[in-house]
Amino acid sequence: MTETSAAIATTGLTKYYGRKLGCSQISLTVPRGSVFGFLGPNGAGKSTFVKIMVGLIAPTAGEAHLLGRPLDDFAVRARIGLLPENFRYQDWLTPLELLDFHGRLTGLERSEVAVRAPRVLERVGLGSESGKIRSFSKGMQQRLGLACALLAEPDLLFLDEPTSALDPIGRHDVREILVQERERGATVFLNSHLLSEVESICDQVAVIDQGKLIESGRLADLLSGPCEVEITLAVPLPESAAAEIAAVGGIVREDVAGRLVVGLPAEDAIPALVARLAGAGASIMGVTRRRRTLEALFLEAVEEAHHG
Amino acid sequence: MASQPSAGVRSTLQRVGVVAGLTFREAWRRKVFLAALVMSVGFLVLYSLGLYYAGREVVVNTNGGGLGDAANALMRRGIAAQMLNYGLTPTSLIVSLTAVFATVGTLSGEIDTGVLHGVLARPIRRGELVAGKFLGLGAMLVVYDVVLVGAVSVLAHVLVGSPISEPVPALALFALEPLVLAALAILGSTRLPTLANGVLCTAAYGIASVGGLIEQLGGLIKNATMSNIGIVVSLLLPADAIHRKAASLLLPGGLLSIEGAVAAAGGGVPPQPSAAMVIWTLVYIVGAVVLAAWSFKRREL
Repeated sequence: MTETSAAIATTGLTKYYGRKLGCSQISLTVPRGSVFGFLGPNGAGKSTFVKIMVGLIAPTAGEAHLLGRPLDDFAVRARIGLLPENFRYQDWLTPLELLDFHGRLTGLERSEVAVRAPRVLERVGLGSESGKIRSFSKGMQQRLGLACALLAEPDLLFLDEPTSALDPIGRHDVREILVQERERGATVFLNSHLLSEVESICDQVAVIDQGKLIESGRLADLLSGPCEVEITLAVPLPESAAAEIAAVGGIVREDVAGRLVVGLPAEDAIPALVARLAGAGASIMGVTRRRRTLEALFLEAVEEAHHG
Repeated sequence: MASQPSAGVRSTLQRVGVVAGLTFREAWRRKVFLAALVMSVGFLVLYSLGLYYAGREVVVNTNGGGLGDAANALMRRGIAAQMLNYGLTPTSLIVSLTAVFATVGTLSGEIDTGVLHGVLARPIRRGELVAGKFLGLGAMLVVYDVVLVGAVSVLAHVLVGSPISEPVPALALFALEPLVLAALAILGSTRLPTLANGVLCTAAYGIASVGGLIEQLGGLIKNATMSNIGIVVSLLLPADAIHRKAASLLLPGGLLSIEGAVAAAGGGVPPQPSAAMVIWTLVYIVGAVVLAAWSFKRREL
C-alpha cells in the first residue's frame, strides 16, 4: 500500500448488535487531506461507524482500511486521533498528566510529550489550566479531549460531535483548528449534527440514515445543480419577460409584489437570465442567488430515504 | 549472552507499565483503599489492646500450678500462636474484601463512563490493558497485604511472644490471597456490571472460606467426603487454601491449641494445603488474567 491510498476506505461494512442493525453495507472512500463530514439523524449509525474504525467494536461483515492498512493492523492506531462522543477521562489527573498517559500509550517518549503537551493545550485554549480535570466544565473537558486527539499529530482524526459542549467562541476555535489540521495534511472525519459547521469546513460529506449510506460526495457537487434566484423589481415584469425566462430554462416559482423567484437548471444561467430580463425592459433593483444549503440537502436525502 | 527483548516485546512491556503505573496511582487515591487503611489502623489498635490484656492473663495463669516450667512455656507458646492466628483471620477478611472492592469496577466502571473509549483507540491491545490494570492493582494489594499481615505478626510476637516460623515465604503466600480475588474480580469485570461482579466475588470468597472450614473439619474428624468437598472448593477458588498454607508456614506446626487438643483426644489433624496448591494458585491467577484478556478482547464497547 502506498501513502497515496485513501485515508478511509470501506466496502460493505455492516454491523449488527444481536439482531439490531447498527450500520449496513457502508462503502465509503475518504481522500487523504480532506475534512469529511458524516451526517445523519440520531441513531442513524454514525457512532457505530466511528467505533468500528477505531477498534472499539468489530464489524459483522465487510472490509475497511485506514491509511492503507487493514483495520486490525495494530500499528495504524498510532497514527489516529479520536475525540469520542462521550468524552470522559481520569478526572483525578491534571491535563498534563492525562496527555502524558495518552502520549506514552501512543509510543511517544516522555520528553517528547513534555514538549508537545503544553503546546497542544495552548492550542485548544487550556494553556493556563493546571487543576484536576474534575474541576473542568464540560466544554473544557471537550477541549481537553481534542488536545488528546491532536497530541501525536495524527494523520487521521476522528471527531465525534467535537463541538457539542462548546460555546460559539469554542466552536469557532475548533473550526480554526480543523482547518489548520487540513493544512498540515491530516484527514479529519467529522461526525456532527451541526450542519452549518460541516458546510463551512468540509470538502466532502456523506449522509447516513437507519444504518445505510444515502448520499455521499464532494460538498460543492452536492450543493450545485438546480438553483433559485430572487430578483427584486421596481415595477412589475413586462409580459414579454416570460419568454426570456423560459429561454434560459427558468421556471417562475414566485412573482409577488416586485419579488420574482426563478428556478434555474444551473448556476451559470443566472447572468443570461439577468441580461435577457434587462433587455426585455425589466427594471431590476437586485439579484440574490438562493443557494442550496446542506440542511436542505440533508433533509431531502433523509426524507427520500424514508419515503422512497 | 542473554538475548535482548524484541522491539515488540519492549513496546508491550512499556504499555503495560504505563497502564500499571496509572492504575497503581489511581488505586492509592481511591476511597476504598483509604477506607481500608483507616479501618486497618483501627483493627491493629484493637488487636494490640486484646493482645496486651490477653498476654498478661496468659502469663499469670500459666505460672506455677501443677505443671512444670517447660510445660507452662509450651502452653504459653501454643496460646500465643493461637492469638496470632486470631489476628490473621480478620486480616484475611479485610484484605480480601479490599481486593474485591478495589477491582470489581476496574474495567466495567470505565466502560460505563466511557473512559476506556479514548484509551483503547490508542495502540494498546486489550490484553495489555488488562495486564496493566491487574499489575497496578495487584502491586497495591500486595503492599497492603504484606504491611497488614506483617504488622499483625510483629504485634503478636512482641506483645505475647507468638512464635514466627518462616515469615518471608509466609508473607509471599499471604500476598497471593488478594491476588486470587483480584484476578477473579477483573475477569468478572470484563462482562458483568460492577455491582453484580462485587456480589459474585464476595459470595465466592465466603464460599471458599466455608469450603476451607469443611476441609479442616473433615481432617479433624477424619471424614474423607468433607475433606474432598473442601479440596474441590479450594480448587475452584484457592483464596482460603492459600491463606491456610501461608498461616501454616508462619506458625510452627502443632502449636495451635485446638489441633493439639483434638489430636490428644484421638482425632485427626487438620490438613494443610500442599505445595501443589501453591502452584495451582499461581496457575489460577495467571489463568484468570489471561481469560480476562480473552474475554475483554471480545467485548464490544
